[in-house]
Amino acid sequence: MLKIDNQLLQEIYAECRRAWPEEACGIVVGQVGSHLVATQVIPVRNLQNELHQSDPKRYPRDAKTAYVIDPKEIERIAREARDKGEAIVSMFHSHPEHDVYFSREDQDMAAPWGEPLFPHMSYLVVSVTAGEIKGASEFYWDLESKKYVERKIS
Amino acid sequence: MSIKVRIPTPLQKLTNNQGEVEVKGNNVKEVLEALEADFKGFRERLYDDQGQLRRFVNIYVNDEDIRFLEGEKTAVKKGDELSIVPAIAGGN
Ligand SMILES: [Zn+2]
Repeated sequence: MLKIDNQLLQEIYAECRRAWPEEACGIVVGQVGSHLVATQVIPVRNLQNELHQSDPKRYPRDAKTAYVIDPKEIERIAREARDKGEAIVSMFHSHPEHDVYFSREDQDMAAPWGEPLFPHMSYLVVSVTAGEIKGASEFYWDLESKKYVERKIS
Repeated sequence: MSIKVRIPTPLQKLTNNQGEVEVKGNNVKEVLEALEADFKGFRERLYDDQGQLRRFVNIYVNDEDIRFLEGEKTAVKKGDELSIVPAIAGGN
C-alpha cells in the first residue's frame, strides 16, 4: 500500500482536472521499504489519441476513455528514480465522467497474461466529473486473492 | 541471422527465467516464430485468434517501435535487439 501526502495528491488531482475531459496519466516515484512512500508525481503524456487516429480499428478508444504511456518514458523515469535509490511506486490515471473503479481494461493491461506486470506497484484511479475531483482509490495487487483490491483515498 | 530478444518479466517463465535469448530470423515475424519454436507459449501470448499481435504487445527493434517501421515485416540483422514491451495502458 502506498503512503502519499496531501500535497502530492493535490498534484495528481491538478493534472486530472487539467486533462479533463480526457484521461490524465502519470507516474508516482518513491521509496520502497516496508511501505511504498511517494516522493514525486510526474504527469506524462497520454498517447491514446495518436494511436486512435493512426489505427482506429485496433485502438477504438480515444483519450476520453483510455490512456497509454510511452514505454520509453517509463524506462527513463524508472532509471532516474533508480539513480536516486528510488523506484516507480504507482501510476495514476483519471476516469473523466466515470466513477472510481479498476475497469476490465485496467485489469487486462495491468496483468495482460494473468499476472501483474509490476506486482509491487499500485495504480491510482481518480474520478473527475464536470472538471471536479469526485474521488480516488488505490488498487494494489493482493498476493493471496491474486487480484487487484481497492483502498479508498477520498 | 541470430537476433537478441529481450523478454518481459511475466514471460520469462517461458524462457527458463532468461531475460534475453537469441533466436534466428530475418524479420520480426520470423524472429517471433523462432521464439515460439524454441520456447513454447509465445504465440498465444503475443497474438490474438486472428493472428494479429495483441493490442497491448509492443515490439521494438533496437529503440524503434515497429508500428512506425514496417510492422512485422521490419527486417532485422545481426546485432539488432528486439524487445517485447507490454503497453502501459488502461481506461474506464
Ligand atoms: Zn481506468
